[in-house]
Amino acid sequence: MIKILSKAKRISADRLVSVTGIKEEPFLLYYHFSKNNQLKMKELKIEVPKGESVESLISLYANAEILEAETAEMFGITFEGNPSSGKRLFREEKKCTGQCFQ
Amino acid sequence: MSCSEEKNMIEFIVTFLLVFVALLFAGFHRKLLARLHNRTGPPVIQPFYDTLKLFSKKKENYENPIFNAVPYVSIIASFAILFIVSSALVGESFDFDYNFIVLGYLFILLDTFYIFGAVASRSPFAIHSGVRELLLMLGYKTTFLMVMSLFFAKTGVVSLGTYSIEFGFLQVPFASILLVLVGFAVMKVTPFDVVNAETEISAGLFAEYYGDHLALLKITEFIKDLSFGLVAGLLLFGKIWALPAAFGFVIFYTLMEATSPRYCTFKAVKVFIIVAILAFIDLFLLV
Amino acid sequence: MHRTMFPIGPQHPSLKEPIFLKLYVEGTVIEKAEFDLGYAHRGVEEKMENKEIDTTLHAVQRTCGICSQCHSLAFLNAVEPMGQIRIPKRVALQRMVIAELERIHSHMLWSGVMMHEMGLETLFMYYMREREKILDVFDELTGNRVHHSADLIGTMKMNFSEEDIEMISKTFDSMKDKLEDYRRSVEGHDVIRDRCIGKGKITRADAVKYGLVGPVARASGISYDVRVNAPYLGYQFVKVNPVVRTEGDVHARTLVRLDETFESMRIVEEACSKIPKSKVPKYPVKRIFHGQGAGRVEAPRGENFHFVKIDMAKTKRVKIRTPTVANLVMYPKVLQGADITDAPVIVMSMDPCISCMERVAVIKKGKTEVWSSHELFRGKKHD
Repeated sequence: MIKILSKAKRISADRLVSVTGIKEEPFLLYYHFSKNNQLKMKELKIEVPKGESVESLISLYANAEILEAETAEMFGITFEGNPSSGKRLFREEKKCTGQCFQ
Repeated sequence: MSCSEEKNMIEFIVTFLLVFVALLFAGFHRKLLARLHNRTGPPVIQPFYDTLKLFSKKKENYENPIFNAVPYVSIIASFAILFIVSSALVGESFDFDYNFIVLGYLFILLDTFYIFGAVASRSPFAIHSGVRELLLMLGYKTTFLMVMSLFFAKTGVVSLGTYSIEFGFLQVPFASILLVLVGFAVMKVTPFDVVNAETEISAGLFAEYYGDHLALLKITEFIKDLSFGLVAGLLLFGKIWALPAAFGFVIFYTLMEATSPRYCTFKAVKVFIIVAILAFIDLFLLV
Repeated sequence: MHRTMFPIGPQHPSLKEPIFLKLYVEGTVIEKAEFDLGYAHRGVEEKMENKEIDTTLHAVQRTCGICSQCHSLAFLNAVEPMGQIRIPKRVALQRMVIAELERIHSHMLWSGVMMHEMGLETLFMYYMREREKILDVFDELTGNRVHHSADLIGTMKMNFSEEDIEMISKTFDSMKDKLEDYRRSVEGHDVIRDRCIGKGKITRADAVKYGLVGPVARASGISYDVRVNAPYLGYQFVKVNPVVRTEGDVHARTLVRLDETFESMRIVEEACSKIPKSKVPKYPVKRIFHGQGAGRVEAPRGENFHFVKIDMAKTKRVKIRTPTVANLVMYPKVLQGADITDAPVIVMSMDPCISCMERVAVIKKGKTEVWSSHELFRGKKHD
């Protein structure tokens, strides 16, 4: 499991804005954070080797539940600690999960 | 043909004509509402087109016999209401003593049939609407019976046909106000249309009905609305003014519908419980 | 008491777009709420992969009907810095005017629909009638009523003339009195107050914890507005007063949106008075070949975020995080404990825009493939 909680804590942002996945070798995850009174967003880039899971940020940011679940569904990454990771958000046929796109 | 047979014939014809008047009133209500919304609206005869179209739809019979039977027993009950009302206005065949109590119970019976059909449909929207109707009935149906009793007790009359008081609202003003309030629930007009709350429970009691079943139920609704308008017109203004008064009520309730949002269910129920208590106190003081 | 599942959706008179809300109800009180998505799934992000940037911009502007300009601006805020493109004042102000007009028409649509939820169809019709005037203004300014398509990389397709600015001013003059009248009705009407006050309460602590954005957050006391906190484009030239309330209930969210309509009108008038005489630059301004960036704007529903990666002058990845997604996590929480009668009103007060919320990204290993939406749904490509 790739641990990112400590890196996110160091950023100490007010909000988690977005979790973006990009299919490259290795797989990339971009987290964007925002402090409400600051102009620029903070970016955290994580490389995810194939088969690895990622630590969830749900303990720091409650809205990570949906953002990580969407990325999990689209790219087949598991976010450890997120109860919605792996749960189907989008009402699709059961074959259409992240696994079929890898 | 003897005189009484002639009267019965006229009464019969008037009853069936009133069905058409009921649809016309419904069409006028929609047209007026549309004009208040600053739109053109459908033609006044739109309910006729809608009813004919519903009758032309493919028939669906569901397994539940209660669900299938409700439209037919409802139309019978609504015609029973209409016969009593038309005999009060033009005839005498259904004009027996205390027929206003029978009329009140027929109104309750009609809504009870709707609730049976809603529960039999097993749709969560229809069941929820049925629960709302049950709660509301506790208030407004009892008030309707008590208010009618008040009118007859005050005037000493025992049947609708023999009620010949002109402008009865002057004699029983408080009961008249309560009767108008009851009309909001009978006609399902905002702020008290919690039973038919389209945006909450998808038009409620009739949610699962379709085709000719829905057409019959719609006709019973129109008949019920007109009958209430005629009875209220008769009690408040007198026999000659009953039909114009019913038309006036359509205008009044449409204006109220256009200018008021919907109460939440429990608030509406509370209002009618209070109205029922006030009607009871008024009746008690009179007796 | 028996616990049942009360469905709101996927098709329901209170929902303008499909979403399946499962309400587990005991009596009339909602014990638990869950949602199911995917009914407006169109593969928007997938369609934007490996496309020319202009083509992607065209697709981005069509992500949603009521927030077309805000998607366009978020995309451009991500892309234009990659090419170090300096946006002239006229372009910045014109883009901002369209964005604020969009905010006005979106809030008016929302207000009308909110009144419809409560059974007051008259106000719904009146709001729609006034909103038509804004759509007519869009038609005059950009040639389109809904998907404005006015923006290009580094520039715009049109210059607003003196007549256009005069037309905007006259339209606002014809609307202001009526909108103030409607606002007074909404704020003061007893039945509306009864339906809205104290319902769907979101505390400030919850709003901070769940990272809520937009009018939902501002109604709970969080004064966060991207136009103020991270001003972009024309917002650097005009003053924006964020509308904030502290009650956190449906009534507060309603009034925040109604007041934002008037604030947006003021911003448009101020911006129009500051548009310089210079013309917009000719297209193309500059080509962009490589880069990656993020842009955010204040959409009518809150902070709209785009992440764009460009490679070989084509968009490799576009990630759209709409404000509805940001606020989605709050739906089950705010519905818990509410009465079933209040459920449609509470859901509508969060202002869900399902069309821009549902997208999908499909990355195929190595190959460039375009999937039709039918194939996307079936999860496989036809041979």
